[in-house]
Amino acid sequence: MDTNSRHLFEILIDEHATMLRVYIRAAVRDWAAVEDLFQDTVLVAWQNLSRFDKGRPFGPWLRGIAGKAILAYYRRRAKSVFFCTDAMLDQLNKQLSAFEEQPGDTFDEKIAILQECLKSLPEILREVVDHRYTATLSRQQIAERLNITDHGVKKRLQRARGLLLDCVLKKLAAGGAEK
Amino acid sequence: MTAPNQPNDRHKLEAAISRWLDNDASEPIESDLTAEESRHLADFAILDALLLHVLSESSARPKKAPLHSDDAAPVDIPLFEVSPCLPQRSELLGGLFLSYAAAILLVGIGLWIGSRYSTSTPSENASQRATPLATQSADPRMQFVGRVTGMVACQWADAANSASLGQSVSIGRRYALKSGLMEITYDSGAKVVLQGPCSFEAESLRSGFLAVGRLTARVSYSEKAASIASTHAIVADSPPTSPQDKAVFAIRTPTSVVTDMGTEFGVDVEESGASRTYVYHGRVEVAPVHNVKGVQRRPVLLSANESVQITSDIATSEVTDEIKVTRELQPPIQFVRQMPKREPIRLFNTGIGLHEGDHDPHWQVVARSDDSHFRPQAAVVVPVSAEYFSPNDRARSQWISLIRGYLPDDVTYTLRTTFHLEHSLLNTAVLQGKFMADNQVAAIRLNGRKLAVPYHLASAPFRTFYRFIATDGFVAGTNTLEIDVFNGGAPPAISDRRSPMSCRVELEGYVVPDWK
Repeated sequence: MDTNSRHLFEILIDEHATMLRVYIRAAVRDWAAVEDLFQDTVLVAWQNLSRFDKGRPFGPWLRGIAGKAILAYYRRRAKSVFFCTDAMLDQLNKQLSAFEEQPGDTFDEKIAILQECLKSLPEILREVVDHRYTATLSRQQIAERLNITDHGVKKRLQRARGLLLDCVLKKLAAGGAEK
Repeated sequence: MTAPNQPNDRHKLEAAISRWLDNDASEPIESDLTAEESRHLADFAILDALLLHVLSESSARPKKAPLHSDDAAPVDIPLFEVSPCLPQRSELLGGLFLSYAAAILLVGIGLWIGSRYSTSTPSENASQRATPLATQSADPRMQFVGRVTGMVACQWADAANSASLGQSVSIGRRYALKSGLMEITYDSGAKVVLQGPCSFEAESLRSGFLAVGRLTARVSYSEKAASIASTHAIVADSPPTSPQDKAVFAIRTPTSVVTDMGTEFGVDVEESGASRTYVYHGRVEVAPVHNVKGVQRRPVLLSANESVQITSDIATSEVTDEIKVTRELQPPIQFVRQMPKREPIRLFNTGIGLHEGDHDPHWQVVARSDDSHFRPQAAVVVPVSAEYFSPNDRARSQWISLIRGYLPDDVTYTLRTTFHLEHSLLNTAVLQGKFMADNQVAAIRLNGRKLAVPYHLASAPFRTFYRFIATDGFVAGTNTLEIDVFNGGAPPAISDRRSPMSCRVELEGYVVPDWK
C-alpha cells in the first residue's frame, strides 16, 4: 500500500472512529469486546482497502465489516440465539446513515439533534438520564441515590428513552438540527 | 418504522429493551423477537450508544468502564492509533501479530465469502428462554407481608440476598445487613428500621425475627391497619406472639418476644442472643422465650422510657421469675428511629447575588497554563454581550472571569470552588452541575478526580448549559471542584491573539447525613 493510501486511510478512520464505536457499542455490551471489535474492523479494513470503491461512502463500508465481525464475535462466544440479527444490524446501519446525512463536519456535529432533544427532556427524566449515562450508575444505584424504587427508575428511563427516540426520529425525518 | 401494537408484544419488547440496556451487559439476549421488533430494539440500542457517547465520553477523555459493571472503577482504555502506525504496529506486536493475523483471516473469511450466521433451532430457543424466566418469576406460593420502603448506604453481608427499594418482602425472607439502614413497611401498618449490622427475617404479616443487631419498630394502630391485617392469614408456623388479640406487631429475638399494640420501641440483640428492649411511646409486652435453669420468667409490660434486658446467661443465684425493668432518664442514642432524608449541599453558583464587577467570594481563578507562578485570586463577575451570551442573572448565576477584559488565547484557566461535607454519608452524595463556557471546558475535577465533560461547541453563541454529575470521589471536610476553561483556539493559534474568557456554572447537590 502506498503512502497516499495510508494517509487517506488515516483520515477516513479518524473521521469515522466515533461513529464506528457507537455502531459496535449499540450491538455489543462488553466494553473490552467493543474495543477489540473496533481494532479488528480497522485492521480488516486496512487489509482490504484496495477493495473499497472510492466512489461510495466509507461509513457504510466500514460498518459492513464491523457487522460481520460482530456476528462472528457472537458466533464464537455463544450458540444461543440472540437479538443481534441481520435485521438489527441493518437498522443500526440505516440510523447511522441518517445521522451521517446531517449537516456538520464531525460526527459530534452530525448528532447535534440528540443534544437538542436532551434539552427538551423534562427535568425529572433528565435527572435519571444523567445518573445513568453521565455518572454511569446502575439502576439500583440510581434508585438509592434518588430514593425511588428500581421500578420507578426503570419506568423513567423507559419514558426518557422513548421521548428521546421520538424526538430524534422526528428531527431526522424533518431534515436535521435547528439552526 | 412502527412499534409493535399488541400489548403482549409491546411488553415483550420493552422487557427486551430494558434487559439489553440496563441489565446483564455481556450476555446476549436470547429472543424470539420478530425482524420488526429487532429493528425497534436497534433504534433504542443506537440511542443508548449515542447517549453514552454524548453524555459520558469524548475522544479527549479516557474511556470509562462498562455501564453495567457496578463495581468497576473508570479505567483508561488506550485508543488504537491508526496509521501511520498500522504497518509498524504489526511489527511491534511481534509474535502477537501471528495470532492477530489468524483472527483477521477468520474474520476475513467470514467477510468476503459472505457467510451468514444462522440462528439456532426452535428447541434451542425454548430451552434458553426457560432459564431466565425461571430465575425471574416469583414463587406463586410466596406470601408478601410488606415492602422495602427505605434504604440508605446498605452493604450486604450476603450479596446474593441484597434488596432494592420498593421490593416486596415475603415471609421467610432474611435480610443480612453489614451496614446501612433499611426500612420495611408491613402491610399491617408497622414500620421497621433495620440497622446494619443485623440479621432480620420477616416471619408473618405481623412479626419478624431479629437474630442479631438493632431495629426500631413503629406501629401506628389504626382501623385500616387492623383491617389489612385481618384480611391476611397468619401462616401456620408463625412465631409465638402476644396473647392479646389486638396485638399489631411482634418482634421475636433469640431470647424474647416483644409484642406491641401501637407504639414505638427499639430492640438490640447481641451476638450471644441477649436482647434489650426500650420503649419510646406506648406500651409493649416483653416475654422471655426460654426457661433459665428451670425457672419460667414472667412476661413484663414496659411503658415509655422503660427498658428491659433478657439474657439466658444468668448466675444461678440471680435467677428469679421476675425480670428487672429499668427506668431510663434519657432515650438510648443507638437506635435510629427514622430513615434519614437527603439534605442539600451548600453550593454556590458563579456570581450569584453579585453585581457585575464584583469579586466572587466563592469562586477563584487558581491557575493559568501560561504562568506557572500565577497566584490564585477571586474571580470577577463580567458583563457579556446579549448577542452572543446568555445574559447574566443575579438571582441564578452569572459569567465570571479572571478580569473584566481580554485574555490571551490558547490558555487554560482553572476556576475553583469549595464546599464542605461534615457528618455525611459520602457514598450518598450527588453533585449535579451545568456550565456555559467561552470558549470551552477542557476538564472538570472533583477533588482531583476527573468528571465526564459533555461534548459542547467552542464557538459563540454561548447560550446553552451543559450538564455534568459527580456521584463519587467526595471527601469528608473540604471538597474542591475545579473547572479548566480553555480560551480561544478555534482557528489555528496566532501570537498576540486575545479574547474574552468566561464561564458560568450552576450547582446543586445533596447528601444523606450520617445517623451515627
